[in-house]
Amino acid sequence: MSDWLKINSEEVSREHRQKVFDGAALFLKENALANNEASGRRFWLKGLVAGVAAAVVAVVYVVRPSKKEEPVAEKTPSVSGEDFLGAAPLLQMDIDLLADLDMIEDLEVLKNWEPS
Amino acid sequence: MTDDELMKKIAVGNNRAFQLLFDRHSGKVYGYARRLMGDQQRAEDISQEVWMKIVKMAPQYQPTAHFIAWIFTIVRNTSFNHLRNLKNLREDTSEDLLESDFKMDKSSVEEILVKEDDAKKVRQKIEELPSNQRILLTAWMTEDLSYEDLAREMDLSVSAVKSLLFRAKRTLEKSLKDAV
Repeated sequence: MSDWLKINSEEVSREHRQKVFDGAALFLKENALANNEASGRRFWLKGLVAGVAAAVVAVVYVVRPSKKEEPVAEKTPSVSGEDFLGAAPLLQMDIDLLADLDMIEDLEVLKNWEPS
Repeated sequence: MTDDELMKKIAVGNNRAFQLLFDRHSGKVYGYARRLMGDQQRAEDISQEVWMKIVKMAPQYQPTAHFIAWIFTIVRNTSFNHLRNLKNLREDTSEDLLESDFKMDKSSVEEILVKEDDAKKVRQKIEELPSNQRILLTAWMTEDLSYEDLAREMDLSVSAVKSLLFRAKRTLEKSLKDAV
C-alpha cells in the first residue's frame, strides 16, 4: 500500500462506533432468535416425522402380519370327513401291522374299531 | 485472538467478538471509505453497511491470509454500488478518451504525492476530485487492481478507466501546484 494512504486508518467517532455496535447487536440477537425458532420448528418436525415413521412401521410389521394369518391358515391342508373315511382302511392296515409286531396291547378294541 | 477466530465467534452470535474485530479494523474501513466517498457522512454510511455485511457474512466466511484485503474488497464494492446508485460513476467518461493512450503507472502518481509534505492537503485535494475520478484513483492506488479489474467492477470500459485515472492524476497535479 502506498505511503500516501497510511492516513487511511482514521479514528471513528464514538457515535458511529455506537451506531455500528447497535446495528450488529440487533442483527445478532434477531438471528439468534430466528435460529432458536428454526431449531424449535426442526424439533417438532423431527417429532412429527418420527411419529409418522413409527406409525408406518407399526402398520407394516404389526397390523399386516396378523391379517396375513388367515391366508397362512388356509394353506394348512384341511381334512374333510370323506378324507377321514377314505383313510380308514389304511389305518386298519397300520393297526394290523402294529398287532403283528405286538406293539399294541388292546388289539380287540382297535381291531373292532370302525369309523363312525 | 486472530481475525479468523473472531469471525468464527461472530458466526455463532458472539457480540463481544464483533466489538473486538470492529475496534481492530474500523479505522481502516472508515479511512478507505472516507477516501473513496470523499466526505465523512457518506463514509460513515459505507462503514456501517460494511460492518453489517461482515456480521451477516460471518457464517459463510472462509479464512483468508489477507483479512484486511477481504474487508477492503467489501468497502470498495459497497462504495461502487453507492456511486452507481448516485449515477456519478459514468459521468464524463466519454471525454479525453484519446488521453487513455498515455501510459500511467502508480509510481507516477506517487511521485506527485510524495512531493507534497502536507498529507492533510493531499487528502483534501483528493477529496475534491470528481467522485468517479476519486474512487478510481483511490481503489487503484490502495488495492492491487488492474485497469481490467476496475473496469469490470465499475461496469466501465478499460479505456474509460484509463481516461478517468489519467484525468484524476492531471487534476491532482494541477491543484497541488496551484495550492503552493
